[in-house]
Amino acid sequence: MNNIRPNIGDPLIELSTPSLLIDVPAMDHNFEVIAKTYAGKICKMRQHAKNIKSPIIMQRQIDAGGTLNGVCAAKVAEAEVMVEGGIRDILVTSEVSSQSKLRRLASLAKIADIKLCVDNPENLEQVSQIAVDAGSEIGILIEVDTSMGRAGVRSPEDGVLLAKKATELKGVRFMGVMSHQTVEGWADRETRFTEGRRYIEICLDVKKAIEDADIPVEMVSSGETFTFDVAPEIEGVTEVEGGTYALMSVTNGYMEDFEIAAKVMATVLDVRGEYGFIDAGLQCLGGPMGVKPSVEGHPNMKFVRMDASESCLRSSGPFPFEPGDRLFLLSAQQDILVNRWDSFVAVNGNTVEAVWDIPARGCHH
Amino acid sequence: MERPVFKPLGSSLYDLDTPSLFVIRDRILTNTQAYSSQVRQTGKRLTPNASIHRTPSLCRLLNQDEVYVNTVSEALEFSNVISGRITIGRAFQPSQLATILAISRIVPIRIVASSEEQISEMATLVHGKTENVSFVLRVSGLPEQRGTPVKELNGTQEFISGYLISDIGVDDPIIFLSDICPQVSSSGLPVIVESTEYLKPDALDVDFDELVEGLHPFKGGPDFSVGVIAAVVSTPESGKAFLDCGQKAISTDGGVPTVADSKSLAIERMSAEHGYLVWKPGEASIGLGDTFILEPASISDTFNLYDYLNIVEDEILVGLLDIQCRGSYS
Repeated sequence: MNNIRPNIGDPLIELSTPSLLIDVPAMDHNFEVIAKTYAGKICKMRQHAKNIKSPIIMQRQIDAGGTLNGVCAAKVAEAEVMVEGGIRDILVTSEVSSQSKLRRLASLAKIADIKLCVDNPENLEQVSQIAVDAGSEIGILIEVDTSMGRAGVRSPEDGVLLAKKATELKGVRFMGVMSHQTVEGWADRETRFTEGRRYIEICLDVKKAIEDADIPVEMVSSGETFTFDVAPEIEGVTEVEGGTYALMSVTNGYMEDFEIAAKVMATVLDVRGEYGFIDAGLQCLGGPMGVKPSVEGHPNMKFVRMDASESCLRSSGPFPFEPGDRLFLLSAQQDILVNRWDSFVAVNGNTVEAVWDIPARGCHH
Repeated sequence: MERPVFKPLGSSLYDLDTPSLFVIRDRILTNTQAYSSQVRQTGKRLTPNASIHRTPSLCRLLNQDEVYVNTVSEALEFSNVISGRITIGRAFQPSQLATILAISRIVPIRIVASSEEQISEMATLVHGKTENVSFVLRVSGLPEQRGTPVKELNGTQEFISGYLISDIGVDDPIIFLSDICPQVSSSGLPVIVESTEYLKPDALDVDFDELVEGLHPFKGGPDFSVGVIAAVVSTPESGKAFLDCGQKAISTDGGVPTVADSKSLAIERMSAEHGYLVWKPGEASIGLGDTFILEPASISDTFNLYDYLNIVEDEILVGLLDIQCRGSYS
């Protein structure tokens, strides 16, 4: 891990580079948008830990308002970190098939309200048996595939079968349904509302089928950042699994309510004509499947190449920085970025306000 | 940080908590020995690029006593394990002087800088404080390569102990190196070649003095030697399964991984948290909890996603190493 840690009060210019920064006012603005959007609504935000991986920051959204005081976690290890950080209501949004992970989750359920998604009866039986053995109870949500063609039941009938099974088994408590969806490209507001509603209705169809089978449905956990203002307007949705909105990334820039709060500060190593070389590369930025970051304030500056520890940039004219200058990089995929760092440097203006560890970094398990 | 349930040495590879990164001990040793021997036979020196694996203890296993790293913070970690020289691939910042001096008390340091001006500044900073630091000038053969353009080399050699040429961004390293190495070697100083992909032994026929290469332990043999073991968490439809290993656990910076020892299975794509395993109906029977070994397309980026490296031999866990330099970017 990085062996250089800044001090609170340090000026930004003195930080070693590359550093992952959080613009605190921008992040707090994003949290305030959520607090206002969900104020007085039945539906609340359940912020996703996969994007931030820090209970301190998750708690900051809870304190700002608009949430149900719980969070999502993508993996069991991430859930453990959130519980250790003081959060007691966790929904694990990925199916878990490993015996050892389910034992960990069942153990965690003794000290926290743990919910897990399932899409398979055999897996549900496994969860039940392990929870019974542990003497705990795990809440069950049935994942519904609404658009992404990945995990999740494919029909209301499959959802009803699973719900019935969940009500019959010990060690588990059927709670409801959940779904996750995405929208391609740069979506305008109308597209977000039309597509978002269409997908969420698929999840609600499963809810209705389960209720028609006389099984009460307590939770509908659906929606994400692109539907943060769509889902709460749809009757029946009880919570939204938003994560990206907190720190944002350039590919979600169509969500104009939110500001980009996560940036990597880098130093220019060398300049040759229109080419500039910086000390931040793939390992600290990520470039999944060739998706590149952007340079703040320089939309025409392009990444020619990202190497392991540095990158080559090209500007449309002479490179506008000198060796030693600092520049700020904006991620294309925010959660991939955060997962490569051990701490955030929280800055307000030009001063370090805090250093927040990222204890769930690398929690793949 | 990563929080796997650690398994005792002697456990089966297939019992590791998934996803987990592992290397196959005998294969990386064989690959390393074979490649080192090939380099030696051409009269060249091999300096392993340890930034590929970021694991100081692995250098002990591979008998690597001097290394190349990308950053000062990596050099600091490696200096606790390496007794030979550490080469750092970029100039240090004035604020890093104390760290450089501290490392130089333990091991010799060689620093690669982009320009003579940078070298002169650094030489001034260390002057009178240590004699354990030397400097190499990075030479650029393409506009999009960092370094002093080869045509601008003026013969001034104050403080410079060698020239480093990188093949980064080059389509054909042999053609590129055959052209640029003679131009640089006319200076009379040692020429060092930094290979950023696995440099095939054919390229060793080119005239240079030292090779910086880090992928040979992992790519130098016919069989895979580094992998990530992952498990199926969902089988929602025929011909498709979802693995608990996505872009956060195996880098897709260089493309999607391949499934080891399988012709019928493929990774279609990866999300942040999951891999999409596909096969033609009838060609496989896959159930929840089944495990698969994925070969990363980008080895160095995948090492950087993990805090622990499992060492296996004959599919048995024989060691567990800290990837101490994970995240050491500055």
